[in-house]
Amino acid sequence: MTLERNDLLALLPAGLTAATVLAALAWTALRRSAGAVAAVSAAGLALAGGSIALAAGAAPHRVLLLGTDGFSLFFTGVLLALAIAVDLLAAAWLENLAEDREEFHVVLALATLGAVVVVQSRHFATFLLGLETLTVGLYTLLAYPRRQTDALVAGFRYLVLAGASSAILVFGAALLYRETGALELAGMARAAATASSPGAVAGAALFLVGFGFKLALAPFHLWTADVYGGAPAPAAAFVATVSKGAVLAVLLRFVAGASAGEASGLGIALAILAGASMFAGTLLALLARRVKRILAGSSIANLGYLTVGVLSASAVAVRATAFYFVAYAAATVAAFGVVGAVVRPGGDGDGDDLEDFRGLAWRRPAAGAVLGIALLSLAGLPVSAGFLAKVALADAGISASRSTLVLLLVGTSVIGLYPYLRVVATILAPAGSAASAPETASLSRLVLVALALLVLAAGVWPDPFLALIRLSLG
Amino acid sequence: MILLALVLLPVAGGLLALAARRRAPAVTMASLAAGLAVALGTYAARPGGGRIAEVDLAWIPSLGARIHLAMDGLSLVMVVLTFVVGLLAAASTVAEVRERPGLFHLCLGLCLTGVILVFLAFDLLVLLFAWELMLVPMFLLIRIWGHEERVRAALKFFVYTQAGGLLMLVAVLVLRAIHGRATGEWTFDYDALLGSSPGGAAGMWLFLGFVAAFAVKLPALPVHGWLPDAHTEAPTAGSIVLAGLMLKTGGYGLIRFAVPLFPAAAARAAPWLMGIGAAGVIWGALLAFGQTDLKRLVAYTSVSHLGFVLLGVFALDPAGEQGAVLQMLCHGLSTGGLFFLVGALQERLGTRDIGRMGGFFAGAPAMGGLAVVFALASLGLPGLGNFVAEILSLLGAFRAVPWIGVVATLGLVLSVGYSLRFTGRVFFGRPPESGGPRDLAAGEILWLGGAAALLLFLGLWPAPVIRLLAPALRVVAGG
Repeated sequence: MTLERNDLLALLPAGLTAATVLAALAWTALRRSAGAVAAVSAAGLALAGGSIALAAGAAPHRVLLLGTDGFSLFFTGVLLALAIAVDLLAAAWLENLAEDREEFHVVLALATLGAVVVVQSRHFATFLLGLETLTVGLYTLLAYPRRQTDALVAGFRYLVLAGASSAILVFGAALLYRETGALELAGMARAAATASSPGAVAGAALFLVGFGFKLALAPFHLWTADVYGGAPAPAAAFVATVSKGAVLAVLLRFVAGASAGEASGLGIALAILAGASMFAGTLLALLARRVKRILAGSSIANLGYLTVGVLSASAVAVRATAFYFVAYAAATVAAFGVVGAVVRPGGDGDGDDLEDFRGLAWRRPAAGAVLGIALLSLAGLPVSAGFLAKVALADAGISASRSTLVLLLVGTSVIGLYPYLRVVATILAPAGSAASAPETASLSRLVLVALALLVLAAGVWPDPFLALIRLSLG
Repeated sequence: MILLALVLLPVAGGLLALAARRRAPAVTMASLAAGLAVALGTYAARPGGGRIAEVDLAWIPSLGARIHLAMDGLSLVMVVLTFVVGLLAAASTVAEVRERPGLFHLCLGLCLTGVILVFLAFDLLVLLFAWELMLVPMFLLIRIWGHEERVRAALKFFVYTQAGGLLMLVAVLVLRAIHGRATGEWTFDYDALLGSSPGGAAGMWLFLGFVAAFAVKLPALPVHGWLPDAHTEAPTAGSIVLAGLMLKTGGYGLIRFAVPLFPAAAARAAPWLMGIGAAGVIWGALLAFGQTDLKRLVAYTSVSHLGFVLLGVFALDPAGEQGAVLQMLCHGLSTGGLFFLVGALQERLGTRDIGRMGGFFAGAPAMGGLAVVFALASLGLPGLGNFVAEILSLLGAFRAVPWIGVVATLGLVLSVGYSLRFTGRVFFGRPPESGGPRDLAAGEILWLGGAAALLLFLGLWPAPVIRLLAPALRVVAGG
């Protein structure tokens, strides 16, 4: 087959992301310099992000089992932006690490490539390929500080569970394929939504379990708290946003596309997962004593909320879900970024205890303010993006007659306030003796402040963001 | 545009105050005085009928939400109250707030902006936004500058109000969906949604969603648990804003939103809600009796006084509505004044325990005199505004459900008890050997005297205010 000009344009974002991996790797091989490699990957990912404008000119377009259209390009852009933010935050976090630091950035770019391929995949083969590239990258990122037991445990745990969930996903796909002969994702989603024969039902169920693991929807969320708790903060941020965002985009496109209405088994199962996640995540955050575990609970609950948007299935709901994801991801990366700035490797290992954040707002006002804004956004309070995003999502749910789920969303939001507020109350406590915290590197502080400003801007004047989403998603 | 200026002035003042640090109180007071001048100017230049001012700008087109602000007589008096009580609160910080005054005033300004936005919102998303906007700065005021039990009080305040707010959010979204399905117009606009309430059980549930939010703020009886803690633990300015203004957003919300949007459901639920109001009047007064903490005492009197508001609103009678609004105004001034005085006492004595006070009148006649005025207002002495307000509320209640009116009247008797106990114990009796607290400064006397003068004005000549309110209240009571 020959590639035409439009094919090349459509492949440009993914291609440039792949080129970034190679460039970062080559740089590492030639001359070790953590700062330079971080800059190369950030610049490469930014270039890939910029090329979306070119790819958009050729969209919608399909090439090599990948598809580019407004939807996939929008999520590609969001994930690339998140990856850049994590990359820059990671550069600061890694400074105190005794090991070589360059490979973290290389692997991060590789995992991002996997996420981009997942978002653009139209066929199970590309989906699986992207997913495995992403996941293999994640094992490395999670266990990167290899002398820290917590991180190793987190990486290993993720390795076992992600491996198992991939196997389940493939088995489900095989069963669906046996029933319908479809390996195109759209066809598989339709088959799953209308499954009636035992084989198809089993296939759809296994498929859903696989997705549930990747998105950490309850009851498949049990790995989340331990993995986030032990992993380096930037790696946890990556799992919570880029990795979940890629899978969510696929779910949003194909399940909403197959209009899995309330009547279908898939819709009911997904609704149960959504409700369970809201409860489980909120409960986990309530009981947690460590900030990263609170954020893990928050992430589980928020993915439950996002699933309400997936189930509501209208064009309005898809836009609301996209907006909510952006608000959630920006706040989550900012929160993990501050955690990473407070808890550095080489500490006593369990530095993200709530007590370590006591008085943060007075010791390091910028970090405290960013964490406060991020948490208030995750809690859904104005003037942060979380409030309007929650309104938009609940509105979409109600207009799709998903009233029960919306009531659950609201109820768990009220309970979920407590853990966030507890952290905010702690960072506002009078500063204790631990005043000798390392100051955040200026670049990572810039990233954090930019994220916080983004969250505030989208919370007061969301129209530009919504207009962009409308333009992309149609 | 004037309305946007009114909304933004307090927060702009707060931002300037953040930069001004030590001079923060002066900056805040200047911005609030400017706001008061603008509000009064709007009143002076008001057109003959209809709304005094209105602004309608695009905000979030994809959700059909607009920045629709409007001011009628009701909004105007509430906004004026906000600036007056805000000035009182800012004045109280001069002596009290020594740590991080800039940040304190930014929080104060944000609170006031939220309150004013509630009073001017004619778009329900703006209302929800403003409703939640008030929470975070008030949470911070209590958490950072509050007293001993501040963390617990701040969390309790937040979770209670947020729970109510989110129920209202769901009710708003459902109402808008019903309107949208019927007309194809997906909007949050108040004027458009008037009259689109469904009948029957659905309408009742939506009404209760709104009432949940407003009743928590008011507070009505079973959901008042956050109030004593929050008022007691907040810094003085926080207590003044909480009692003087935030509680009023609850009463205002009932009058402006809950009743007009769901008239049928309101009429059906009215006797029950009046009963809750009367129970609040009695219960708050009884608990106020038993308190030894001065701030807690004043906090419980708020539960009692705001019971009259609930009573008056759900009498669904012109007199009752007038009484409810006047009660909000007068309670804002009198309780704001009382919290100011309690704050001054605490700052001077380091305690709020009534048992350790007594005979302070001799050493501090100005403080004692003003305390007596506010206490008399609080017990409903004729000549002061609260009397007019309570009588009108009771009048409305008698017309609607006579026996509830009778029960609520007992509250007047009880209020005499706790008000006299407060002033009697603290200011009269044997003077302390140490000489007691020093008297109020000239500036403090000026602010409190102003509040007292306004109470006297409302008590002697409430007619202009009532006339101003008439068009807005006609929507509620139909009279």
